[in-house]
Amino acid sequence: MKRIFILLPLVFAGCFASRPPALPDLAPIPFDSRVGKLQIVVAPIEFVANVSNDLARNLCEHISSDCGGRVAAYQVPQIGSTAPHTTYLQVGRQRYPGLSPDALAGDFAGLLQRYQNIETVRLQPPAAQHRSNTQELVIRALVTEVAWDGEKTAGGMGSTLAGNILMVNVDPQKLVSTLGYARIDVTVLNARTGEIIAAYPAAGTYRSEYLSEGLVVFASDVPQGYGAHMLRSALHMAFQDATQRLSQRLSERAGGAG
Amino acid sequence: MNRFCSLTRRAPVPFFLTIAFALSMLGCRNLGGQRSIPGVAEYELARVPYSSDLPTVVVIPQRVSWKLSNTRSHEPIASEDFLTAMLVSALGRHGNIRLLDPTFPHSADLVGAHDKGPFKVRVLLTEMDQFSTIEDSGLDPWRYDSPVAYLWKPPITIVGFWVSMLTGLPSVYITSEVKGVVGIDVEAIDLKSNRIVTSFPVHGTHTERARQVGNQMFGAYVKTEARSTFSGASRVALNEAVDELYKKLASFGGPS
Repeated sequence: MKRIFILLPLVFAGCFASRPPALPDLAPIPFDSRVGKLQIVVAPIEFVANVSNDLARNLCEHISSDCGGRVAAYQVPQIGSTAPHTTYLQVGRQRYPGLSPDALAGDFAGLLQRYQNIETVRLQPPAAQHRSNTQELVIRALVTEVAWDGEKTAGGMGSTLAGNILMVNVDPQKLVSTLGYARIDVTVLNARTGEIIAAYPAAGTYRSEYLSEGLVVFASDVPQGYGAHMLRSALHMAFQDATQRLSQRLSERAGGAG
Repeated sequence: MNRFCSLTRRAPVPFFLTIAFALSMLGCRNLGGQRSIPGVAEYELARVPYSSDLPTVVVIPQRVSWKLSNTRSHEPIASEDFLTAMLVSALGRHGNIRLLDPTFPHSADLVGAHDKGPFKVRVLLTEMDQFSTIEDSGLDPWRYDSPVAYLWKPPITIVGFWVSMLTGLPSVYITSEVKGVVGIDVEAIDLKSNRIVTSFPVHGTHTERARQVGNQMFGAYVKTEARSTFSGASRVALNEAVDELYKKLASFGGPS
């Protein structure tokens, strides 16, 4: 029996080998002569998602060790409920540059270029109200829904007795499967007339897994930035969906649909 | 009991290895199929295509505001941008609704001779609730936390086994259903006469399943992060509101 306790300190510091899959590249969307050439301006993409406290905390932990008050929790009325409170999520602007409104707009702008009707794409300066006499279309998108799920699919204990009491996670090896989900609401505006020529939601999911190995002392057992990576990847998929839908809407419209 | 004690004393390694092997087999089940974040199009309704037989309604959506009658807090539950984006998307689903941005001064030529409107559309969020019911719960010590990982690492096999024994036993799983309910009031104003031409309430509900698995005594380890039921319920309510709104506005003022 003594050996068991002698062996306890032998647990060793480990490392992670995360294996995020590459995001797929989709085929170009062919030129539609009815739509014509387009000049696109992409506005900064803000987070306005309404999520559970658990998700907010989860993202907070995994995006950055210090959220610096970026996540604000507001209580919602609940009657006889044990569900987590709803939280208005606002994360990542300064702490994780990859999730900043400009970075997301840049990602979207890059993906829009596979739509061959688009001649030029540029980013709108932050906070600029876009009005012009050109034939430009302004794309405004907001991130309205995000979710994150993580599940151990093989491996040892996670939050263990030792982990909780001794502040140590004893976790020799485990495979964690994760799923990120994001939905955006897109508005396409004619910058000259002020007409909204298309408005639609688009969504994306991203599944990945990572191998967690060894013992992590005083640290989260998820690699730093992994939550942000999941979220950003899900948003990337949502932007792809939005690009596809944009081409469909403009083709419908050019075909006489309003 | 005496027999059990003597067995563990006389042959501790084979005894514990046998138990550990049995437990590891129980823990080997692959649970990958239990993921629960729903797909992309779950509460997205099909687009209503443009029809030249139906009138086109010109709408200027206003910023959605909220005034909860049943709130215990004065804090905002969501940004107005969040709700407004969903409203504009819901309006954009309808092929016979032409949308104008409220921040632009609009010229009259955007409203065709046979179009209805323009109408200013206001939406006020007035009710929001969330209910949770536990569907299933219980002890399931071997389901998610398999001791198998400890067994293939000889230096820590014994430690791992004991950790599994100590922490696996109190682990539980809870599956709950979370239902969100949203009530909105919709109002349309004819900008030509400045009259409120229609006003009606709409309710939307959306249900998500949440799962929590882990060590109850020391905090759950694995949790499914259910999407906000508020988002789903808001979308359902706004889609329904737009369908209703189109019917009312298309028939406003008689046939065009």
